[in-house]
Amino acid sequence: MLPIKLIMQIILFSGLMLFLVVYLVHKNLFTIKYSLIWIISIAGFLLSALIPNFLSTIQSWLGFEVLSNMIFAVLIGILIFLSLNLTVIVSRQKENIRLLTQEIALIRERIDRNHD
Amino acid sequence: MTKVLFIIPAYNEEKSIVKTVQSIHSYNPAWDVIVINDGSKDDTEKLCKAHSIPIATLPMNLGIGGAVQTGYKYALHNNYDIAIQFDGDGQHNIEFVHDIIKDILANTHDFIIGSRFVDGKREGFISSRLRRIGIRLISITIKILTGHTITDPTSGFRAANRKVIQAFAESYPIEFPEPESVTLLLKQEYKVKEVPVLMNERQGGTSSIHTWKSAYYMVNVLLSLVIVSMQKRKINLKK
Repeated sequence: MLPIKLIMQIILFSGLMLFLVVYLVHKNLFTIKYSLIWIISIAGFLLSALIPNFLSTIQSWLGFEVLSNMIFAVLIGILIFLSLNLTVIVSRQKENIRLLTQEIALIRERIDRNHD
Repeated sequence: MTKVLFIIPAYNEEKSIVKTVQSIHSYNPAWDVIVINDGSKDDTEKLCKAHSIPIATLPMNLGIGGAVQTGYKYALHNNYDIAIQFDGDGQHNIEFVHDIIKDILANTHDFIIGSRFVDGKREGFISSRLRRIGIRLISITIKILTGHTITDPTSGFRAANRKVIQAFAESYPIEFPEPESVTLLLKQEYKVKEVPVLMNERQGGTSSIHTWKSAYYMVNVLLSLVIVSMQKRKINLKK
């Protein structure tokens, strides 16, 4: 079991993050689809802190000497995953923008030609 | 009759674009052109319209790959038999177009590249020493990846038949379009050939490759060629 103070902080932090994500979705700055990955991350973070002995069991299982090292490692892993996810999204959007730009150019050319 | 289209990608080419198109039309009035204005900030579009040159203006700059692909899409939509990529900056010489399309007209090849190096010749404009070393490196990489020798993989003076027009309209590499596209074609067993051409020094505009970035550029090109050559299966499925 983690110290009660730490657990309180984790709950507070997760609550804030969750609030922020929901707020962003509400303000249409975030689509629900992309908010899911954040909500899942936050929920995982919260659960792992709340389930007694969950973290320390995994720690001894994976062989980390210090618990905080494992937490950092996991968080870094999550961040890498999130940024990969973002790269995929950006690449896909770039592709879509290219297709739209080309279509606009071709349609505009056809309109101009028919006008002359 | 064979319908021939010149795809002319143009980014800020107001100094040379009209002259380039006029050189094509005075050589053979039956040949059509489409200028792909890649978000130019100068008067490229205005000048083309004033001279009744067909022009498709991209609302934003996509880079040479995105611009050239727009041309291939135009060629596909308008049923052209041959599409020729031709620079708007006066680098390419209209006299060589006949050599470039000869094997496509004869139906023996799908894609022809105008090469400055094919005969080991050293005439005309062949760009700086550093750039030639880069081209050689790309050429060696393509040889390793595909088994075919392409002496001038960065040449933008090319001709494509209907099959290739269709393939490029569907999917065209945009990062390093010239070497990547030829690698893709070779991997997919299209018949590609090089013919010797002489090129002029560009009249206007600036090269899209800057010297100070060249090392980084090289690493990127070679890596992307390796990746592209591994994509074979995926693209074949699409076909």
